[in-house]
Amino acid sequence: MRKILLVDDQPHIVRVIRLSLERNGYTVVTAANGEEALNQLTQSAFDVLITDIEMPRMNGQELCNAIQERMPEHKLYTLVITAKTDLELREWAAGLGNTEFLEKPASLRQINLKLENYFAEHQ
Amino acid sequence: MKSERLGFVMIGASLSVIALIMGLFFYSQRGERLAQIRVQGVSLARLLSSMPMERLAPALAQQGLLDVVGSLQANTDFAYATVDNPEGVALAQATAQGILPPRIAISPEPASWYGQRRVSDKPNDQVFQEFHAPIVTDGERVAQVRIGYLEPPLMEMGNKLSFLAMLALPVFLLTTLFYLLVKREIVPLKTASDQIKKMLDEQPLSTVELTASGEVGEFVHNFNRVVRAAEQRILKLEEQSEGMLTSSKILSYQKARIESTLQSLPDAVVVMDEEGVVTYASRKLEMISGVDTKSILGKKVHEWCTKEEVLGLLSGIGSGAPRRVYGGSTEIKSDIDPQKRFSVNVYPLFSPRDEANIWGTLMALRDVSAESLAKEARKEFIARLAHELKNPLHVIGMYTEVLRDDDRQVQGAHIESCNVIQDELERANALIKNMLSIAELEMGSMKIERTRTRMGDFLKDVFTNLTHSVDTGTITCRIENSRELSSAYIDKEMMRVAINNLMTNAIKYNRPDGEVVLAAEESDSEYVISVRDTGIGIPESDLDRIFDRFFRANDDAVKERGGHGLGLALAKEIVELHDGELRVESRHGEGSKFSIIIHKNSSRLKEVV
Repeated sequence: MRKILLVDDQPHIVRVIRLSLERNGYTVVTAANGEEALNQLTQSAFDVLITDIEMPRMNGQELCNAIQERMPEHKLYTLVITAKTDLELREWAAGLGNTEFLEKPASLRQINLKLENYFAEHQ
Repeated sequence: MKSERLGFVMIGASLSVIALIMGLFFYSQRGERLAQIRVQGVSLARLLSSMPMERLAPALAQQGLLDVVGSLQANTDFAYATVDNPEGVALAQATAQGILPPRIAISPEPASWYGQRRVSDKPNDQVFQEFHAPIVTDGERVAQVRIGYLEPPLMEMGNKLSFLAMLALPVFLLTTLFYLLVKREIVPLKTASDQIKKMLDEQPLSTVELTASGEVGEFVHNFNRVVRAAEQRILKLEEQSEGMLTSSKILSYQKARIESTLQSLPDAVVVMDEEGVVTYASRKLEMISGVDTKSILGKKVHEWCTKEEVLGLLSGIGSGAPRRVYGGSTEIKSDIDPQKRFSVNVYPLFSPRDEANIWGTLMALRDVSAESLAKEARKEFIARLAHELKNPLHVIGMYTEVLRDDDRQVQGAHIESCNVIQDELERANALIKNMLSIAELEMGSMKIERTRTRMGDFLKDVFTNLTHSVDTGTITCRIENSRELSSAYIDKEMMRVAINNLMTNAIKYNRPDGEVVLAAEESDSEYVISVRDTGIGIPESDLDRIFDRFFRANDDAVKERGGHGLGLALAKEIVELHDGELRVESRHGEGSKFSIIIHKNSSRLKEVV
């Protein structure tokens, strides 16, 4: 069972990605911001984290850093989808490990492809 | 005339010299004669006194010794020889012609028996030198011999005349000659000298008016030639000087024109020679960069310029390389004002005669802060717009993918996708419109067009349109005091946008079941249009930033509600274009009130204009 935690504050985005992923057989849990996501992580284990950066209450960066600090046992493949493109952010993402960076506007196809490749290698 | 006096003086002097010489001569002559007389007289007196009486005074009319003496002494000053008895009666006498011996007594004192005395015979106007000696017989004076000589006068012409003439004549001639010489040579010399002196003192160069002969005349003639030659030269020099003055004036006029042209250029200009020494700097340099124009003249670049980039551009100067073309441009930041940017352009200056010769460098500075800032603003704007559009495109893209999928999808999903796409497109459109409006407003290219507007009707219209087109959800919207307002001159469309923005904010940032009130008040001096809400409010620390473009409070309640941060910025621009103010009052967590204030006076003024 391939479990995905999907985090974005825009409901339209969450909805369409979720639909697409579920159609491709993944199990998807959604969160509207970093805080909610952490909550979910304490309750279950996930394989993949797909997250936006610009969110209220705890943004994507803070979320990933928190996961590294507090829950290092979660070996999550992280997909960061964001409109921000600055070098610092990319370097941060690269430094996280097991993390990929997708620039908005991204397509459902791209997202599904990334997941396919990951699961092909790791399962 | 001085020369006359001089002549007289000279004549007088020479005459007195002659007189003096003559006087001395005669005096010495007389002295000699007196001495001679004395010698003779004394010896003769003694001789005679030693003679016996009979020889001296013979009884009969025989020639006595005296007569012999007399005749012997004919050519001298001999005057008389007498033998007197002690009473003074003459016993024998011999006189020269025309001489009458004076009768005088001889003192019986033996001491004066021998002697010499001067006897003057006033009646006959004769003066004698008399020598007397006693004739002593047996110790008694029996008679007195008296020999008298005429005292030689002081002056006696006689045979000395020719000698004197010989003496006087050359002296006199010399004097005359000298006088003539002076008159001929020295006097004209003096005259010429006086004229020259006068000329030097008062007048410009002039010739000496003098006719003279001889050396002086020659001298004056040559002097006048010199003067005339000098005058010619001076005339020529004056012409040249005038010519030079004129061309110098023309040059400095041209220079002034060129300098004023340089000064009025929008760029500040610095001209350097081939060594890199500053020869000219326009005043704008000081205005632009704060460098004092006067202080850099004559200095090399590195003495007053600290900017690396500029020094790099100018490194080609004075390198000695014969034809090295340097130049280029760079942009530097101002040290004084960090907002300012200058473009620095460096050009080599070629000699007009020989294009291969570089004789200097021109450096032009321009204040490009406005352009620079505009460029940056443009970059920012585009970056911002692109960034903001990414999200809508992201959504639209993904829903389009859904739409493209085969019709495995439920019909509802299709419709939903289309709705979402439409929404996002509208949002994107609104964003673009807002951003363009703000950009245009800031550039000043958007002008408001005021028309006479009945404020009551206008506000009602805005309110109605908005509440019908926007989903107000659970929020209640009200309008107050809209009827008694007078007319104002406003740009309807713009003001509508501003009020709409305020109202959509009020609705968006509200709490469930909250309230939004559009109100209007009028006083003598102004209109106040306000939008109140019972929403989330604004913290004090954000109050002065909420009107900034793209500003969104770092508040979760704000972030959860989407927005671009442009609504208030745009509203503020519009209100300010109407010469009005947009004010805010707010309590965090309770609600906000935004007030548009439009001054009546300004609109009345615009009315008149």
